[in-house]
Amino acid sequence: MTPQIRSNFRGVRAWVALPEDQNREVLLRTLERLGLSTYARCPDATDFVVGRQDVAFVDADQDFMVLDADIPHIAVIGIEAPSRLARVVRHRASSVLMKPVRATGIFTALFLAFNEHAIRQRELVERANLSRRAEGRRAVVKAILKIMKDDDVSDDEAYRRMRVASMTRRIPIEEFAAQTVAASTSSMRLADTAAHERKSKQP
Amino acid sequence: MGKAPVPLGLMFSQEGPYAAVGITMFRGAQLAVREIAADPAYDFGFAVQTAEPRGRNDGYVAGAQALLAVPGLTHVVGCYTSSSRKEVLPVFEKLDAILWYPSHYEGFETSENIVYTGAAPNQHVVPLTHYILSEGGRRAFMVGSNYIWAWENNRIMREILGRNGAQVLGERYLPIDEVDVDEIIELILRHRPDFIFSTLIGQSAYSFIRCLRRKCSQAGLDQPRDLPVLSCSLAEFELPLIGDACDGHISSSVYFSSVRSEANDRFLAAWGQSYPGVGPTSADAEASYIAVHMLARAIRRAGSAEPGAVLAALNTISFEAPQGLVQIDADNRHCFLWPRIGRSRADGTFEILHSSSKLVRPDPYLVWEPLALSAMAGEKMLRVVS
Repeated sequence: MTPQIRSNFRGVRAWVALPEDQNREVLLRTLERLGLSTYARCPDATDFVVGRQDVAFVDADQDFMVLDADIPHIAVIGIEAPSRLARVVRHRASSVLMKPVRATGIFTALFLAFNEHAIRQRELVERANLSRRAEGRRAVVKAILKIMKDDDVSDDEAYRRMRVASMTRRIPIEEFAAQTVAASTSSMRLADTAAHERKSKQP
Repeated sequence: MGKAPVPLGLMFSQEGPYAAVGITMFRGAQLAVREIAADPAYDFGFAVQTAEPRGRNDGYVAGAQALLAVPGLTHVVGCYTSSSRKEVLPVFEKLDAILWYPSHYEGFETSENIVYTGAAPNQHVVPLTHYILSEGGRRAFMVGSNYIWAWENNRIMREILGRNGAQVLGERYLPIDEVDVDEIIELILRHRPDFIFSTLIGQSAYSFIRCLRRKCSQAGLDQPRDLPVLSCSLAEFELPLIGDACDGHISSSVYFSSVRSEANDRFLAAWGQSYPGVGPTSADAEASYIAVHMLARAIRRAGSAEPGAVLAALNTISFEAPQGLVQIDADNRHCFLWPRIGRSRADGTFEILHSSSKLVRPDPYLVWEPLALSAMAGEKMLRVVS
């Protein structure tokens, strides 16, 4: 499914940690025009509160406060020196804005930051799912072998039974596999659908 | 009894692919220049310098540079396409000058060096979409010239339609100036949408309408009734270029020559006197006319043509324009305008079907626009005019 692209930032709360100068003035004015509420701060401001801001503009030229919040970051860059730029990369800025700040470019920076951040968040969730599955793989293999042996079925059938059983219980197949392996007998754990035929086969 | 001359640049393509609109915009601006010269309320008059970009982006850059090199010239009224505007913007920023941009456009820009006197999307495509939804249009087909004006307007309309349970059956683009439209029309006839949203410009638009009308007749359809064409750009000066098929098309515009007001009567009379035989006024001519009058008012208020002083005076001025009283939102330097929906007539003018009941604030980024039709039900944005 194509992810929804966001293009309206009305009501967004922007943390703007830049020196009080023309750049900040243009940025604040343009953000407010775009419907955001702004919180103008100095680059070393420490009163950032997680949950109260939706996007942060940080000054890449200064020793900015690293914000411990999973919100879009936009690095405002004047000095194109590798040492400064490296920090922008390390702090995973979701987009950048060049100095001198002009009205042109701010909407683009905001647009990219929000949509890029949303993609990253989706990818994080996907990655967590993948690692969970990767971690559970050993248990899945063990459980398949166990069911094949206990129930005298093919690997495909063993996997099918396990999938049906985990779906019935509404748990990930990896978790079900781990339970199956941990249990003394697979028959106690397998899905109700398969339970009857299995029981009939038991001596 | 000399009036102090204030240099003013006019930069319109009166030659090249969109010369027709360039000429009409130039005429609108010139008319206002003459009115300011004759008006004793102004102790200055504009000394006009012109540039002819011939519809080419490099021509606009060269033109802007040449105009802004004239001593004391810091204001230019001009440009038509968005690409020309974006191309010259760095020149104006560098030299701290102001471009008065007199055309409707697709929005998503608020340059500090541009004053926009044409309609923003919440003043053209949004009211048009609300209009067609309220008329029961649910199935759209979109056809446009392949550039930003079409892409962005289609996106905006598609989003509003989607939020209101309507759908887009198809979306096709033609290269600018392409006149081979048969295939698209066949496709549209197979889909049989409730309406066609056209962002075609120039020759493509005229060919499309002519060919659509012909094919509809062959198929036994009454094109204006069965397959109406909607646009945000169709204007009076284009109707003779379409010919016999020019009637029955819906256009969203802040100005039609058929607006009934004292200011428009004056505008029409002055236009007819200055340019006999060229046909009626249009939205582009009016926007250029507004730009020059607004600039004159801002200079008078500021007591100087210096760009900073003029910008600072923007929120204090208003102008009784042919479309109605207009003013500038100093926040984004776009204009408060009067959206209208018109239907073209065989005589080359538009019948006004709906008029906004209030001055509509410009919202170039569509930040404040209620995109769902239900959200604006209570507001009653459009009213029927008799």
